[in-house]
Amino acid sequence: MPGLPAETSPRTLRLQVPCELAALEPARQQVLAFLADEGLTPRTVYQVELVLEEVLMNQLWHAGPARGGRHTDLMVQASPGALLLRFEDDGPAFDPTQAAQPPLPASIDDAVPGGLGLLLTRKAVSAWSYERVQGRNCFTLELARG
Amino acid sequence: MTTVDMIVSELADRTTCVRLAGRLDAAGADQIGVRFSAVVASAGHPAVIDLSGVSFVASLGIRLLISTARSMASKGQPLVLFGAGDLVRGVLDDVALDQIIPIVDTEAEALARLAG
Repeated sequence: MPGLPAETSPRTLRLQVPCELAALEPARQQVLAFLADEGLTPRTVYQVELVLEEVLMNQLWHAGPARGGRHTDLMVQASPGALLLRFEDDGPAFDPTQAAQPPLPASIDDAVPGGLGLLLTRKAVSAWSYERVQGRNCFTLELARG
Repeated sequence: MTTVDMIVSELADRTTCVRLAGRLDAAGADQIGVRFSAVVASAGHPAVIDLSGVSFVASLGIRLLISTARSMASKGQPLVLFGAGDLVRGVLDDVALDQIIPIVDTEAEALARLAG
């Protein structure tokens, strides 16, 4: 409409990420290229990379031994106010938002070297939600832009 | 492919120094894990780890640091981290890593921590 600023519609990237460690780096590069012109701070870019790595690695662990040929459908949406990452896969049902968090260790003797990925993911995002839809895990995370 | 470089040296007082550079993500931890643990934990000396060249760390990188520190602690050998940049340090703080492994700013502080 004349006289009004044009609304900025969200930009969206969709990727299929194979369920294997070697697929993480190409996916990261494509997401970084998509976000390159968004004017994000280094901290926000770091958080996006962290979420990408932790969620994809978590799905890799939970996909089980029959993960050959499986993939994650990844959607990244850049809106003026926030970034949205949505991960969908047809692996066994797993709700990361309900997963028990290991207590942070108080000493090296208590430390268990694992279970930190979801903690880091939760700290990086402003909101997250999980749905099981038609046999698929749908995990959506929102990051505040900075 | 991401890579993480690792340079090992021996400082005075039989202290092992490992300088890491690159991405300590799942691929990076997988790449250096066996060698890092062998060099640091098997040496039987105190160790300082220089993170100043590490641009990114995620949970599997932290897991490698914790498992190595545990292995060293079981032999009575201390491990100190130093030089992490702000973003990497923020992630280490998010998991309260400094509660279990000393983290300081400089190499001199790391060596002083070992001496103290």
